[in-house]
Amino acid sequence: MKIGIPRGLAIYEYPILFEKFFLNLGIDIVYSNITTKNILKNGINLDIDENCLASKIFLGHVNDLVKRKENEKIDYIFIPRLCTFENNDTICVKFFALYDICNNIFDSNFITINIDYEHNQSELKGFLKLGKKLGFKYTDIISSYIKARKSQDDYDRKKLNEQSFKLYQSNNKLNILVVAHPYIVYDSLVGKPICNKLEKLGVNIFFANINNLNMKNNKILKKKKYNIKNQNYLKISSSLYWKSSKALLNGIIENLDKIDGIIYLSVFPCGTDCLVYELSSRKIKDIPSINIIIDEQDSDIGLDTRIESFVDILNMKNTREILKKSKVI
Amino acid sequence: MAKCYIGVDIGSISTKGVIIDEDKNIIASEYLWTEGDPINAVKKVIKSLKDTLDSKMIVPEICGIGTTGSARYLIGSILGATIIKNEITAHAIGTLSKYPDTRTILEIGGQDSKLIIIKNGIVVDYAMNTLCAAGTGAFLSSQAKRLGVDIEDLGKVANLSKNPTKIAARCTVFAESDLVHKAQIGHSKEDIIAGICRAVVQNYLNNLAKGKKLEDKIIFQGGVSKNIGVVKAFKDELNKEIYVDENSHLMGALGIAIISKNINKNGNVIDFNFDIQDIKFKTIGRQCNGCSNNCEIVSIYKEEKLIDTMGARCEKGYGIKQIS
Repeated sequence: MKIGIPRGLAIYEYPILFEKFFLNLGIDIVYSNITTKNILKNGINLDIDENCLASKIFLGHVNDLVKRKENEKIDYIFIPRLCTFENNDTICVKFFALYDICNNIFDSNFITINIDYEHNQSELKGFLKLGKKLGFKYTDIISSYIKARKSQDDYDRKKLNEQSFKLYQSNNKLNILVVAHPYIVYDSLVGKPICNKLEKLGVNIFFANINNLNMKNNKILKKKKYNIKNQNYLKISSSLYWKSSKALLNGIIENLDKIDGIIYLSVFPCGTDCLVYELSSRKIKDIPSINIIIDEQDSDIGLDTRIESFVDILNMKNTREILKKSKVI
Repeated sequence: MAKCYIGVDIGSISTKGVIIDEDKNIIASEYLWTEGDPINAVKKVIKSLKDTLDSKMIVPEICGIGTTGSARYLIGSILGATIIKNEITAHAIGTLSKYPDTRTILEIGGQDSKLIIIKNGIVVDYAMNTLCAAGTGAFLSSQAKRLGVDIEDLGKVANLSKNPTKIAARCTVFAESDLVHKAQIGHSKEDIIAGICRAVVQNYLNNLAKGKKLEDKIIFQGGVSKNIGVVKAFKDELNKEIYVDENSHLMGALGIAIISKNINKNGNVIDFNFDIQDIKFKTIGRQCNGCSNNCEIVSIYKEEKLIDTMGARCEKGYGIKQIS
């Protein structure tokens, strides 16, 4: 059996979990190609105008897999339906709808997993249903899920440790925190070029989406509760709605004393980011920040100017502070 | 022989060039329209700079070339620039070299407007307009054309008005319809033009200055600072003294020249040919078909020889360089 996974939105929330689950069951997986202008172009044609860039890219990826389905003998295209999580957390409604949208647009074989704690569909239950539909035994499904969950948690933990280690290593480079949803910041058309640009300018990049809030304990079946200590986002707002906004703000607060600048990166139009980034940049006053919104335009010069000048100014500020400390000024 | 540094600022509307000496004094300058052809504009600028030097009997020893502005990469590779930097940094450094006590720089150019906040001689904050061109020079020049007034006279006409018309300037397109309406109900031309100048200022302040404190000393620069109507509107709106340098349009070019001086600490002389006017440059834009990104690639040829390729996201696009 072979399952195709579109490289967009939900898959970036759990980069390991789904992949490992299928592999553990002995299912082959193929990903759609990395995002290119062509994929985006197809996505724009398929999606309605008002949807965000990330969702257009996602449909482009699904389109890519649908086209390859015949040649590569893909049995199912996997589109997760993520709705609500533990502790009454919820996610952007796009994630609710993706599976149904794709079913409406394409004539293809889609398969989903429904994670909706509010309606008593836990992650485990979702995986059981998914596995059953694919025709596996409960015991195999459960063991595959548990192993996959553990891999995902280990992966998250490893990423977090790497990042904290990098933060505590002192070098003279600027530390810049990129605040963006994982499906934006790791995308090869939207986030990657910006990160590459920053690296070329000689700064250390950190990601707000890697933080303590999403870390889970390894006891899977136990009811998970947040560690109260890790709810740092409360310092900015206690009434945040989306899970990912909470996580990003947490990422900012955790690293606040180590970073020199913040880049808020979002895609047009994202209602949540608009609100949350504005809120955060108003509450965090002493760290310079810049808000970058990406749309379908593909001229880079405006983006270059903004990023370059931001880094330049941080550098100027830094030199000034070093001189001040050594009492030259 | 005198050590000189060249700074070129190629904007969307105008191209600026300066030559400074060792003490950061401007010894030659030129300002002309880009007219959509940055390469030719730069050729003219360089020629005119050279003529000025010749007339002053200065034999230059070029130690640095800097380019800034929206065509900085293209012109940078044509001139063989020693430094290519964004215009915000260049403007800040240029202005600070003349006015060390600057706190606020207002800059309105052809398509960009910027606000730079400075504290203790260091840039601490800045804002740039979003993609929309409302409240920039492009808005002014399109409205001037519409009203049949020369863009250079716009300020003079505006200052004749005693009663500026209120014009909604959130969007260039809607401002235009507002303007037509105001003209048709009988507002005079001067009042409307003064209203446009005011609208530019209000738009600028609403877009860029929200939540920021504009403190003295305030410097206003960029091409639009030559428009006395806008300067007056800024004064009225902010209720503060606005300084406009006689060389306010050259600050970006001056800044990048100073940066090129700063990075060349040893004062090494570089190889630069002023006869760029006679050299044939050609640019070819094409689409790379290496992958489905279809990057738009621009190759620059100097006398039929490829000197640079820009715009590719990966090596595949640059691969063309070796083949052709």
